[in-house]
Amino acid sequence: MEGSLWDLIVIFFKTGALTFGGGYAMVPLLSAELVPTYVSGPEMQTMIALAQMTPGPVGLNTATFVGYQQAGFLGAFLCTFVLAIPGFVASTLVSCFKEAFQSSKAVVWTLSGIRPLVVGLIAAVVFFFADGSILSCPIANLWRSGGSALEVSWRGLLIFAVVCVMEWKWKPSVLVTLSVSGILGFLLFGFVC
Amino acid sequence: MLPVATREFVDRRGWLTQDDMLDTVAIIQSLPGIIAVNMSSLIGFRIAGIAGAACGTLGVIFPPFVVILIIAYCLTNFLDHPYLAGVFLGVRAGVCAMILFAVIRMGKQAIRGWFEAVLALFGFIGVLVFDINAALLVVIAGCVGFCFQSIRQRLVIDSEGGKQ
Repeated sequence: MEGSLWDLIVIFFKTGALTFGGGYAMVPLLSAELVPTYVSGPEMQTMIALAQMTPGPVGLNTATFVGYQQAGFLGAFLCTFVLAIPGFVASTLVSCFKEAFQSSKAVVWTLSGIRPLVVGLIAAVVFFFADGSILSCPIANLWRSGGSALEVSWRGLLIFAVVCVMEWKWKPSVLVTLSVSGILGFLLFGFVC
Repeated sequence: MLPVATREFVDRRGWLTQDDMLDTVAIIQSLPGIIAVNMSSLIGFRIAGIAGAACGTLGVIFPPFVVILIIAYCLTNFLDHPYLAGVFLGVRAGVCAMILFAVIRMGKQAIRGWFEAVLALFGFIGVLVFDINAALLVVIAGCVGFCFQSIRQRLVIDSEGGKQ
């Protein structure tokens, strides 16, 4: 766990400036920067899951959480603040020069590349969350180990399947989905490890 | 968040019109950062200039900040408890499925042709297989999008010019 508060501030500022689309779009950027220097993979996933269960945007919650763990109250405050700054500045600038911004082709063109990329980035996050809970090792290690190290946990897979069916059939709220998977996790994993 | 904001600013207080709200949403799609922050900055600016934007941002940051501080303070020692470890393993497996469905929804909107599909695949493989920094990928994709669209625009203009 090396790394200074200053590095952390730079990371959150960068994330705030380069996230387009909000919500999950922040997860790949944050985990690329924070894991494993500041938090371990499973810790990061727990934090994001917690951030989803609590009110407020996932990105802000994660910033507060990581900042607090690394450097107490000051860390939490600074990380949350710098994450919000780029969006605030961009919104204010756009409000001042609205006509120019809305008629700008450069903005539309640039975003036409970023939007689909973000979909791919978030798809990769699915695998990031799967390691430890469904798969036995980080997916990125697979190519190096030649696939021999991969084991699938039937417990994780069962929970994954249940939530898939729920999302597909009923589109429940986040709180319902996470409560169900938490309870299933307690029942299936709780007595094992 | 949008329905709540509309009810408060348009219906109850009458500070903004429905069109203002739609306008705001359209702009948010193309700004970097956290959606809630951008939305409250834009609405705040419309109502009271830069001071309004600053107040909006601080207002939207503050409540979750306090909630997470309390959770972080209380929970840090609990996270390693064996029973909770099981709960969080379950939650992580569930989050997997939730993100999968979010990706499908986003993909349906954002991917309309081979150009978008290639970029999405580029992001997926870049992060997962080649371990390329996600922030770098965003910058590259922005440049690629800009160049591709400007070239396409030029080609369209050229071919129209040729017909005339």
